[in-house]
Amino acid sequence: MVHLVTSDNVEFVVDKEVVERSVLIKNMLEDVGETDQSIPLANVSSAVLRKVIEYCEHHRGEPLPSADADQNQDETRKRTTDISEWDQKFITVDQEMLFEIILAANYLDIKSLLDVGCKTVANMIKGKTPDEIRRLFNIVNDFTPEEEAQIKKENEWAEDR
Amino acid sequence: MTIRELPFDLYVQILEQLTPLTDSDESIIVLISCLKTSTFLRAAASVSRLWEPHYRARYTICDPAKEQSRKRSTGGDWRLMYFERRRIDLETLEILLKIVMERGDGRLERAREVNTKFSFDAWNVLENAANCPLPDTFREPGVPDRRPVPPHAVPLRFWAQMLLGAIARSDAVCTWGKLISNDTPQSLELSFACMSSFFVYPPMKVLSQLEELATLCKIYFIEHQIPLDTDEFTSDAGKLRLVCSSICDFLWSCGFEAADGERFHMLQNRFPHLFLTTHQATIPISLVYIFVCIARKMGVTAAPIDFPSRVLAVVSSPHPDVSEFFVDVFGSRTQAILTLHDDIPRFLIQAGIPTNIILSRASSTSMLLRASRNVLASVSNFPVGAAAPEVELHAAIYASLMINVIFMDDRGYLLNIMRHIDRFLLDLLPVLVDSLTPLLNPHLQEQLTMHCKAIMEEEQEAATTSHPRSALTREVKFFVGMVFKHAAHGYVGYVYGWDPSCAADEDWIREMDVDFLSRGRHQPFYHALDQSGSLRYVAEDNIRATSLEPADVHRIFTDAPRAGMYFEDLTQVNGRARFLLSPELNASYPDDEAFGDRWLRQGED
Repeated sequence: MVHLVTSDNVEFVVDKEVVERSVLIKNMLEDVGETDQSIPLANVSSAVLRKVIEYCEHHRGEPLPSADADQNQDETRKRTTDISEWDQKFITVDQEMLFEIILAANYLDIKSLLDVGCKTVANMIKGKTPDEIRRLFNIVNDFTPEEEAQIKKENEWAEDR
Repeated sequence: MTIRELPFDLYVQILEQLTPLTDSDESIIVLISCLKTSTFLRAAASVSRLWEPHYRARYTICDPAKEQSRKRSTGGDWRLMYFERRRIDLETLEILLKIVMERGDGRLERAREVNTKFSFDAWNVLENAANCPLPDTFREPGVPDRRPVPPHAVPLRFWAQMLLGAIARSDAVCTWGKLISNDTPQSLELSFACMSSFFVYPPMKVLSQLEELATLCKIYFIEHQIPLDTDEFTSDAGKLRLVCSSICDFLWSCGFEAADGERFHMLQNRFPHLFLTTHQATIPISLVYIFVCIARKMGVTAAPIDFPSRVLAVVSSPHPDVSEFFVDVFGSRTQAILTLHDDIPRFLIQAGIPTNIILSRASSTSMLLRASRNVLASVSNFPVGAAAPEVELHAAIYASLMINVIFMDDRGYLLNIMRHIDRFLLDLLPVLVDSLTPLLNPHLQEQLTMHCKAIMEEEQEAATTSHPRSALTREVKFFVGMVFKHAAHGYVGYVYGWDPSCAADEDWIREMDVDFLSRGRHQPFYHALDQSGSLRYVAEDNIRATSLEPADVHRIFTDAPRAGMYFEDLTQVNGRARFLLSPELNASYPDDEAFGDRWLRQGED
């Protein structure tokens, strides 16, 4: 069993096999060996970690993408554009949680979860205007008027359709 | 909880998930929108590798030289390359629309403009236009198409196809022209592939099919433990023979075979895009072409031999101890490897040819000429229409005539091409004037120039001729766009023109017994296309109203592609049917759309 402590100081005790879907933790455990000491996850809150562990539990035992097969892995990732039914249900969360899961998956290095999250966001921004995308990502338009004009010109072929 | 900002890499990863699409802008629009949001997201959406899959999905064909210079000028940035191609697409579509809207010499000039400026860079956008969705009337039931139907979809498809053909054929003629001064063994693969250009099939697709076959062949070799190492098999006569006979075995395992009986004479098995896919039972020259291309990719020195009875391949080795031998790909199920001393004399005797003949490697030119004669032979062996659809037949003849004009400098072939050119409506300037003329001797150049000038003038005159009904002194009962049944012959036709009285020459009038019709020659005559695409000239007396069954409607443009030049849509009421007119036919018969509409509504009563 592995002990994990979240940013809001909640301790989780998880099966090694489950938690090792995180490449970050797997490497850590390999470095320090068997230990009862808890691992602090300063970037992950308990609400988010609960979701992440739910995901890892469900996908327990599935083969992990190997680190040195980066190229092939990229290939399979591109080909599988669909999200499985369970993953779909799992990722149906509010937007804040979705982004938190993505950040956690990125930090913990869980490739398949990161993909599910990114695909979901990609589907969310389909058909959205730049304004709607700004609101979605909580970002502001910081272009100068000159830049705006330049950008408009460069994409003239994409207008009016 | 508030939304936390995502780091740069995650934005890139999100955008990486967008599926590359060939005929939809859904994914691209997302990238474009992100470029417009903020400096930060713009930087993420500008990452070159995000655009590469979209570029590759949409732009499968390019002009190789132009692609090179595009890579240089953009520094290999896929986003900028994508933008560049989209600008070309847009400009091409603009010109295409002008071609659709207006006939005349301007139309021919526009085809030249697209070819000169963009060549194969315009291919993908034109291919999309040529396959754009048809109006509901013509669509097969149960095949939904969510894409919007563009304005003038039917003539748009027609002219896009014509323009694609002009681009492909212009390139083919240039490629063949280069053989005149520089015919190398390496030129065989591409120059032979260009035979398919006449069917609007780009040669790069043929080349990539051959490349794929070579890859499959290597896998076959590994599975069957046949040596793949060039140094190993070229230095050992036994191994080199094994390699060559194994390539034949591989071809047969892929479905290639020697055409027998009737299939031997099929027109289709003479053209690379067809014998590589749907007509794999084919003739010796085609099999040798595939064999030589694959063998070379595997490191074997192979070449075709213009052997009297059937084309063979010759294989040699740089190694002095390994003597050259011949491969009979076509007869490889009996005996693949032939030796110069034992087998070849027997072959020659069988064919009734003196055995002292010198066997030399065939040039690409001689292979093309042989292929073209095979086509012309198979065309004359079959009555028109029996062996292949008319569209394919004319493409095949055109290709063969072109080869003979280029390499034989023969006036007869040139005159024959001029007889075919009205089926390839945009070829005049890009193919004949720009690509072919410079290859001909001064005498033929002059002839061709004269012909082309005459066609330009005719086209210009036809474009400015209008047939208003107000000018008529005799009633013309029917109209362009009408669907009719011939009273005597029973065929169904579509009217695309009329004359107030018979405008054919005296011979035709006599031959067709026109004067025996109740109103003789002094009645309106109609230019029409029948359902198989043949041109007809019909007396008004013989025209009966009819309508089309759904199955006939779905086949209109497949069987009579030219209908796409004249018509846009079809309406049917109580056994009456009429096409809506394309812009050019509308301009030429300005009153017929309204006239036809009234006639159709009279049928409702």
